[in-house]
Amino acid sequence: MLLTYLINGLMTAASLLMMSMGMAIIFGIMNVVNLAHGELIIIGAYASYTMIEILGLPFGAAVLASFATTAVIGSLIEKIIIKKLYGKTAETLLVTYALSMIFQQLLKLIYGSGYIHLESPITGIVRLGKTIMPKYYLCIIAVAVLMFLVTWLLFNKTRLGLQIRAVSQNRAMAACLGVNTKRIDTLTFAYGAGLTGLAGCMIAPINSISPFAGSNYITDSFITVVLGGVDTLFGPVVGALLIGESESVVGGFIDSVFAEMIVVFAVVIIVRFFPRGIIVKERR
Amino acid sequence: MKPKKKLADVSVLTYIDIIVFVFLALFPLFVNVFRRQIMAKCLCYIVFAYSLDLIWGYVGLMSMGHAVFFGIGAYVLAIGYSMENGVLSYMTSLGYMEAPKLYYFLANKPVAFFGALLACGVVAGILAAFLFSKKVNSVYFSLITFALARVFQLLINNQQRYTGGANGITNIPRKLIFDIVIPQGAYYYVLLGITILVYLFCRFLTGSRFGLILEAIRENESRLDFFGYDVTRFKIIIFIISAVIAGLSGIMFATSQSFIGPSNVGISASTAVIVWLALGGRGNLTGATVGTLVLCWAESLLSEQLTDYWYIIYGILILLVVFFIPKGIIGQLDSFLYNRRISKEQNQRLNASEGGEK
Repeated sequence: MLLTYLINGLMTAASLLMMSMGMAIIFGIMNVVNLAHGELIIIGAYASYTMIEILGLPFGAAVLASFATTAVIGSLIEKIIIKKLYGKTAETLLVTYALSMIFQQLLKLIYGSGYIHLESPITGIVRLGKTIMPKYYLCIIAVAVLMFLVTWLLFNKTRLGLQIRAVSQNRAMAACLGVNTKRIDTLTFAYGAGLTGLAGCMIAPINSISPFAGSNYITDSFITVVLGGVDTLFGPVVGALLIGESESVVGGFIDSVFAEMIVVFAVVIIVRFFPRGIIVKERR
Repeated sequence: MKPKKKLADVSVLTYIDIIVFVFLALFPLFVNVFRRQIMAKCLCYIVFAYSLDLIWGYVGLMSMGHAVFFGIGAYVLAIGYSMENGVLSYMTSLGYMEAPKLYYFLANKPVAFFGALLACGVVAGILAAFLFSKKVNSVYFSLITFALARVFQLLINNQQRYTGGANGITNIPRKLIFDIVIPQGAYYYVLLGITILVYLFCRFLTGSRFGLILEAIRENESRLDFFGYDVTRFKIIIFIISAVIAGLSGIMFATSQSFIGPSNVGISASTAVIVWLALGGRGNLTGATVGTLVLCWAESLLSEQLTDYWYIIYGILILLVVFFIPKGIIGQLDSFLYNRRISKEQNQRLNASEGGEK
């Protein structure tokens, strides 16, 4: 039993990682809390739904479409709204909450308020000892790892990543050295939003998706980044693993709602002792 | 200069407050029962808005899960009050014949009332003890309270046996502390009385030394820390007070509407009160009153006609408020009056000095 829950927990952790990586980028690098994060996930899911079920395109196209749609929406949000509110936490929270409400209603007007169903692109199961696991779960874990690697390489090995880190550490100095900080802000936000949409596309086949399902995902992303910390990209990985495993194991033995409650309270206590999350980068 | 500004500042807002409360007192004389019930709901929400104003407006801590305390107050009381012959009214329809043992304490009305307030205070105290340690980022406070609101709503929905599940608890008797049913018309004035008492308490609290320290924490926490104030302790105390008032508003809501359900305690309820404060203006209690009244009525009158579009309009309204009146209606009015006074005084002084030269 425990092994089954642990393996399922790995899948939960992978989807948590996908969902919270975008938030970690937007929150950690830009210091913006995006309450429309859950809706970005849902928009990604609906973009892939449109591609597959309505236009009949293959899953690959859906992946690209969901990334592109949310990245464009993200860059628009940044350019039009967030740009004017840097450093104002309360206002940002209010505005992004307003956006989440607007997105929910627009999705409802376009697609109706019911749940949508998406076929998983990969069917079949894998046997790992006694536990049985759909192949698609393995696919999700692989994509999560891939997303993490690509993001890590982007931030640490490319010129753009260097500029992004420079802007987040010392905006004025980066601007002095000729970095177009506004463009970097928009790109960072768009990339974070794009990853979030991609996560939505990946989890759509195994989760219930409706215009109002965003709040199911945003709290998990929140506690993941709060627990793991946003100083480095490894924070969300550790947070996702801890939360995914504990939700799966506790949920398996007791009840999923209790599991979620226990996890939130555990995070409340842990934050007291790790105020910047578990993975912290030394700062001067 | 400073004490003068303070005096003028208080008086204008106090006039507005008095006008609003007189209006609220006369309101039932001119309208039908349906409208009066909506206004009764508004009164509960005004108290709820005060509770958030204490913690967000005065200390700058944005609690995104304040409806949790509203819900704890309302649910503890509702469970106690709707207990009859050892069983809760919703339980028989669900096939449970016996209430959980824990609930027997609550059958006593005063115990339920004060137990509800106590529960809010205890939960808030525990949360605050962990979240207000010096190094925890205040954004994390918002995020965690947000997560808490969602988990609380899930829990209420899920534990049908203990909370009535998605249907909530209905037919809560209109009693307060004592075992006497108060008629609906009179209950409006009971609610108004509580609202005014809470208002006076908040005015007293924020005007006192304690209140000034709270505002100082909002403005510059680390400086206050250098001065030797125990910032954490002040935050914990005000959070508990705020939670108890929120619980009281939940009690008012549950008894006056004789209903409490999961939709009243979740994320949307918590963010609604934030929006009322943002529209009215935070950090002065008048803004809480005005914002709540405006948006509550707008929602009751418009949301049924516009259904889907209401939330889009609501969202756009929030965007407009943040960009064009960031201080809220009352905050904007306040700073306008202040600026006018200052320029008038400067003109007077200029005239006086010119006269002196001649």
